Amino acid sequence: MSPLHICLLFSSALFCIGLVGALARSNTILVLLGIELMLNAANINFIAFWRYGPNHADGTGIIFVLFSIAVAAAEAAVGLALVIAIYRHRQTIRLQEANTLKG
Amino acid sequence: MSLELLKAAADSNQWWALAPEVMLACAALALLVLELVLPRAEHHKIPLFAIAAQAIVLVGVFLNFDTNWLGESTFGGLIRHSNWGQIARVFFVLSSLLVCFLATVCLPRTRMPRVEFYHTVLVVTAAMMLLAQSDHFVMFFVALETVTVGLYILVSYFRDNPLTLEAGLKYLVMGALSSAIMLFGIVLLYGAVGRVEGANGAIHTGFEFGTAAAFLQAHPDNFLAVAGALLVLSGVAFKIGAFPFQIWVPDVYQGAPTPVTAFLAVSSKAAGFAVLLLLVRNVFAPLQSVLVPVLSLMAGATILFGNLSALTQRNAKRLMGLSGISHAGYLLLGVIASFTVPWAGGAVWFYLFTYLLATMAVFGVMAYCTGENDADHELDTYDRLSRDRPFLAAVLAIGLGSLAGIPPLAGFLGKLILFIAAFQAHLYTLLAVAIVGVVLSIYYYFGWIKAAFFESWRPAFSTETATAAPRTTPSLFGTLTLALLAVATVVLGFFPGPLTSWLIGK
Amino acid sequence: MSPVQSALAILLLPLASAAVIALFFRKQGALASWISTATAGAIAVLSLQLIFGGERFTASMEWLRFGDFSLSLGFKFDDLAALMLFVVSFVGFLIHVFSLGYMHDDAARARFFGGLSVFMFSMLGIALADNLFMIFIFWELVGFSSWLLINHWHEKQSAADASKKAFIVNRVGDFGFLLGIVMCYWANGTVDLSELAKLGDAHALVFSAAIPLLLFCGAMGKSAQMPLHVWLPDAMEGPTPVSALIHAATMVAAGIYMLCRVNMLMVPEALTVIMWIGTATALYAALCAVTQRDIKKVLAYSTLSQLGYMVAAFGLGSNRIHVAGCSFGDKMGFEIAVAAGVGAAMFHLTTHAFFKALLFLGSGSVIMGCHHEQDIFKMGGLWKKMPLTFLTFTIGVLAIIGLPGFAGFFSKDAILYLAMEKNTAVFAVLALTAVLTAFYMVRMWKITFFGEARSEEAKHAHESGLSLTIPLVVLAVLAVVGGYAGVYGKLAGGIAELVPEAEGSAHTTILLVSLAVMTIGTVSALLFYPATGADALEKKSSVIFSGFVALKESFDSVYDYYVAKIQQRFAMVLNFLEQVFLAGLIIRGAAGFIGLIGIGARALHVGSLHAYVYWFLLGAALLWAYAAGVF
Repeated sequence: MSPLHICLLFSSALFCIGLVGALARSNTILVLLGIELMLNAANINFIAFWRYGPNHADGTGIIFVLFSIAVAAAEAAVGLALVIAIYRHRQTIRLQEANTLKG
Repeated sequence: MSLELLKAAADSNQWWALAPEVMLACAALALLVLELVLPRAEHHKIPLFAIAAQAIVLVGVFLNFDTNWLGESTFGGLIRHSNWGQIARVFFVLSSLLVCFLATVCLPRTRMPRVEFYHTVLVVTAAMMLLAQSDHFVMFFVALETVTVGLYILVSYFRDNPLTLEAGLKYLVMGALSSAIMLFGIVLLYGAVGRVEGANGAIHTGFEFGTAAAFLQAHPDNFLAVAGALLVLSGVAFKIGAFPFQIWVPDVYQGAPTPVTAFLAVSSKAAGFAVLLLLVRNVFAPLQSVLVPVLSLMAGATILFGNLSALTQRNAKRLMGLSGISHAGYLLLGVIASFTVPWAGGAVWFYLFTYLLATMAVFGVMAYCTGENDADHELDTYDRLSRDRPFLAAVLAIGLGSLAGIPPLAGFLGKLILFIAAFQAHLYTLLAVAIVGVVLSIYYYFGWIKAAFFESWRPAFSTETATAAPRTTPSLFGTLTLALLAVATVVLGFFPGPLTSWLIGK
Repeated sequence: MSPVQSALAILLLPLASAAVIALFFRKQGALASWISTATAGAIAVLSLQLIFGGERFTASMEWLRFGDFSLSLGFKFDDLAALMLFVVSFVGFLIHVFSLGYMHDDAARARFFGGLSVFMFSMLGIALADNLFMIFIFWELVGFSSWLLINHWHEKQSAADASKKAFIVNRVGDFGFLLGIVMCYWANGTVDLSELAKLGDAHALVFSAAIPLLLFCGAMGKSAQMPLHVWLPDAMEGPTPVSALIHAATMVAAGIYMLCRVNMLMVPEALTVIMWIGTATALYAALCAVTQRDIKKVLAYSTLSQLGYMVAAFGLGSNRIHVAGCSFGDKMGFEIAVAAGVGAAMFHLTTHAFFKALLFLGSGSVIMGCHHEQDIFKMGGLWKKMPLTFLTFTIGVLAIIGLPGFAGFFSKDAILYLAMEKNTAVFAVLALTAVLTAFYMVRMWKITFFGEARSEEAKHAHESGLSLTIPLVVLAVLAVVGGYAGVYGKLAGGIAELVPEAEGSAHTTILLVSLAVMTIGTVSALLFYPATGADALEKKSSVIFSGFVALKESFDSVYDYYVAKIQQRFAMVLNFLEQVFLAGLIIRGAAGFIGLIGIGARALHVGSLHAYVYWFLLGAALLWAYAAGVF
């Protein structure tokens, strides 16, 4: 098995773990964490494709990863701010409680 | 990378080419500075500054429409300037101008800070303009995420309202999920394409639209690339609210502040379509045999789902969201047609412009008819509107009529041209579905008009409990803006020539 | 003014009038009504100038262009359009004048007259349009404005329901119409009427039975042919001038006019279908009319029946070629056959517009005189109190039953002659319908105007004012002279030459037949219905009368039995069929089914984020599976 395959398997596992977290957890922060894991799985793929692909002389893969980390950070910042605001109103951050808007 | 290549890349940073975006970003920053330097009593003038700045940008883009940069590629291949990019610039500035107008109506009713709202709207608009001109997946991703993160903030802007917060949370989780899926798609494309040696030693990767397209042309059945393309499209489908990624739409539309709902309905959707047209035309064109069935299924399901679920809806903002889903379906028809009919992209833009006018007119009326909590915005709120505020009722009727596609309003022409494009592309089944959808949509749009015009049709038992709905009298500026939107909708229905030749002729 | 400019002025004046009323004079009913009427007058003058100016032209401009697809707006002003223009503008003007008096005390007068102006705009658009697409646009506008006008008294639940019914039923027809236009464009590459005619002359048209039949769907909706006729009787909930304008003279005639416009697309199979639908409508509506008590409902069913006549006349154009077994290739002989249908249909359309508008306006005058009583059995004895209305109404009745010398006689004879030549079965049905027409019209006429006043309202009836009676007189004159070649030939130009004329022995036969059916219907109605005190008849000719007295008693019991056992049950059966089949199954049933799906689709928005995440996952998984080639 080539190193690329190992990396891809690892990142796929990470993606699945993140997805399960997003699907199964009821704590909003943990759901966000799960989504971060999924983003990071994609990032690892970038590195892997860059490092074991034919073009690791230039820095394209790395650069994209940097951007994506920055974006994920912004997302997390907004997300946590939102969670705090919700906690102030409801004293809970259980995802199931957020179901007033429906129908 | 060699020094010469770096130098060449630096030379391609033509900042003048991005003057509209740069100006919007500077204006956004200036808003924050103004809040610091101006005394508190003068703060109410800051939104006017935002509106004025956008008006200047709008006029500037319009005057320089045929700029020298057309067809050029700048910033090391991140940006490609095109006619559609210019059209998108006009569209997004116009839309955010109207969103700012709605905000001047809605924001003073709450105790929320105002300046940050306009700031975020300006930044998001600049990002949308970049998105519509991107020629590189890095640009695409960063611009799209800037839009998305900005919208997270805007959707949850009324942070003292639990419904708004819930909408923000839902949008955030869904948006982040779709970002992750889309990023995965980009990675797959990147991995599949690998490296391509250019002519003079330049190295190209799958990030560049042109390179990715060339690879797909050569290997149209590469599994990684096809899967990547579909996952990227799923991210775009989330933006436009296409089936099966439409489920968030009604909840978020309902909870978001009314100006933001309008922003989501118009700008965000248009950004999705701008980028979809870009991808379909520049990158995924070789995958036609794969994409046409997928997009067709999506379009059909989107039209039916949007219209059917809107049929029994009584909440005005949810109704706009669900009917917006069906509009996305009609627009998808145009996107599919653009594979074979060259002018179908122009038809999509024409539809978007008519949709902008009508939707903004409707949201303008909604902004004046809502009370403290704009998430509880039932159709019953419009009871007796035609008697109390005949002007607002007339604007509402024109806007909804245009959305329903009633001739001779602009929306009818938009649909007609789109359907003609689909007809020429031989999409007969989809066309039949779309016509069924239009017929269904007349039912719920007219239900709304009925609520505003014929109070006597309501069942007798509900009239007793209904309290007087809060209605603000539009200011002169507001009246003028709404009248302009309504008149434009009517006039465009009679004289579409100038706009169509502008959109298609170029 | 050049002809094109006056055509443009004719089209745009009512739009301007509607806009001015809507923007500035919503509250000033009197001013609005005068603006609208003055506009209608100006249109009438301009159209007369245009029609008798003799110039026929086509003019169009490109309206929008998208790639290789372009749409144009334009006028096609030929003899056919000139005739329609006359009917719409002239009759429309008279109805405006009538409305001045009739709607004088209405609170929402401005809305009414604004609606009339919108209607005139849309109707003139149909008359002048040079392509099918433009016709469709104005077609929809006509639907909208008729909805507005029927719904004028929207506080009344029945009026609101009726307008909704008219709107929905018309949408059903329009859907077919739109499909027909699309198919026509698809098959022939153009929807321009002149270009289609050119293609037809060059034998280059693509024929298919589907195109004319789909186009006919539109006519079925507007001209109220079975099974889409259900909206017209209900639409009588609108003010009476509206019934006269929309449901007698112009809008319902639009369907016939449109058929004549697209006659080059017709094929024999489609014409046969059209013929039978028209014939069936004519008979069915005549049967229904016999059972009505409401004066406007009688006229509504009679309109349906007469429209059936016109449609049948148009359809009858086919059979010569059908019998001869020729194929589409023999275009020449075929065209002549269709043209005869066009001539007869348009002839009857014109005379019908005169006398039916007269009858409706007369009924409006009666209703007004009787203080909004519409039940003919509560009227009676009006001939003394409303002499002018009585006189003009009588002329209208004589015209519709086809008394020789009146307009209806000529046009009905043309149709009957055509039927006799082409298809004996249709001829028999149409002749029977003519008997029934005379029967129910005379019945209504007699019960309304003769005998004793049977209610307080009728006792205090009074003649209407000038603005009501002047249009009656003008229309009465037209109902008399409209059928003569000297008048109709002037109006219709080349279209008048297409009217089939019987010669020799055929002429005698048709004259005898039509006299016979008229006499049978009239006499039996006069004898059958006992509503009159018949004083005058008894005194003047006591011999005849006393001979009938014995019969009369038995007729009375027969009549009672007929009313109780046959008429009521028949009405119930018809009503039941209508309710179940159209309202219940097609409209309600479909709406209910779709509503159910709608509720289901709505229930998917459960509000739980986890459910939404699963939904997303499903989408991504489906796309992935598709990429992997699972489907």
